[in-house]
Amino acid sequence: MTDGTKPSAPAVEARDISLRRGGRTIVAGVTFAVNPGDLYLLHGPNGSGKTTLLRALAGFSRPACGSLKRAVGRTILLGYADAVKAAFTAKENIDFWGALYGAAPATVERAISQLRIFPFLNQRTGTLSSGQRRRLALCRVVISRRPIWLLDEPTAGMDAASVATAVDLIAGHCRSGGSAVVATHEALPFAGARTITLADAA
Amino acid sequence: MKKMLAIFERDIALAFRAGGGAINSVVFLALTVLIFALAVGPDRARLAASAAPILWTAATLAAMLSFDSIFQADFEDGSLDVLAEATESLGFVAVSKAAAHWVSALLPLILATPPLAVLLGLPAAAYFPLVISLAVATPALSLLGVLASALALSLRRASILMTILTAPLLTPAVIFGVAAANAGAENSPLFGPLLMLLAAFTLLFLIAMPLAAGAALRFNID
Repeated sequence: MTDGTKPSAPAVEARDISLRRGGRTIVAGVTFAVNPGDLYLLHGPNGSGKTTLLRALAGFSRPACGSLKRAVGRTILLGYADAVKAAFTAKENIDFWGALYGAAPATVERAISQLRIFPFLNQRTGTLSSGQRRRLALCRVVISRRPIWLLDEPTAGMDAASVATAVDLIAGHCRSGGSAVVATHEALPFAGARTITLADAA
Repeated sequence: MKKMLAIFERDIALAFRAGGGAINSVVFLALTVLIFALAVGPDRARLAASAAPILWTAATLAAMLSFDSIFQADFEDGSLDVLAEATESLGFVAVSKAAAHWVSALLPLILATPPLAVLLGLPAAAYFPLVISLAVATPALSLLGVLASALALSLRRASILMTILTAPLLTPAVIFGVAAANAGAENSPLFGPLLMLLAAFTLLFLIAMPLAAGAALRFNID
């Protein structure tokens, strides 16, 4: 980690926040703080505002009320879209992220091996399966070296082995002082994760 | 700065891939000029006299054709979120995208202009002023295109809106661009001042566009 982490204050702190989308309040009165080492699982039915909450934590939207404190440049969002360029090979996508986040080659190589990207490294990403693309998308999160991971269905489309890889990766990140907020419908086997359950707004 | 360069390089690489659309505008330019030449008929003098306006018009239309796609792919595949998050400044993203758009879509147009000018029988003395007028004014088109694309991002099939939005703003570039090209061809003393006017137009967009496009993008990815 190149940036100095301040252990004192939580990097993200939401106090009684409400979020509106399309003129409706879909998340109301959510309070939590993300400290180093924390792992939150975000549960709730479709349309309950998991994505909206993650995007707010990432700084893409402001809460309608309540207070949301977030350290700029510390969060990294993995959205439901993979943000992978189909015309590029996996390696070209990774190289771009490396340049974008100013990552050292060692960081990039470790991310490639952690997520087992190597078998399809030089393949056009347009020809990859959705699980492989998802692994590649997770690779970006690792390359960013940002401490707070905001993951929206990180295991979507993955097979059992890939899910295990992703779970190991996220758990390892939190053990080493990072933190993660994971929105998921799956029962991911995380030990010691806290759960935030969002109620259906309708 | 490094991030801007990374975005710039990525966009250029993508533009020259299959389906990237870098040659689309050149093909459009060539076809428009060809059809115009056929429409005017065998009157060489008339064709030569209207060569600069034809090339300027065709180049502008070809540029407008490429505005649609500047942010669309990044918006749809989630990359725009990534760029916004990584740079924390969408104004910088917009400038990188504009620079990449100019190099991948408009520079090929400028390079295609001399061979097409031969086809239209443009006098030899008029080549340089024409190319220079295009080179000075077209960055403004890229900047304007980025702004329009950012504004129309979340609207489906926004091409018509985009055309209506951009046409009035880029007419000054066309008017003074053709005037500069003609003045240069006639060795008129107005060539220099007209070029400066075009440069001022480009600089105005360079200053105003990043803020406006950044705000439009921020609004659209919310």
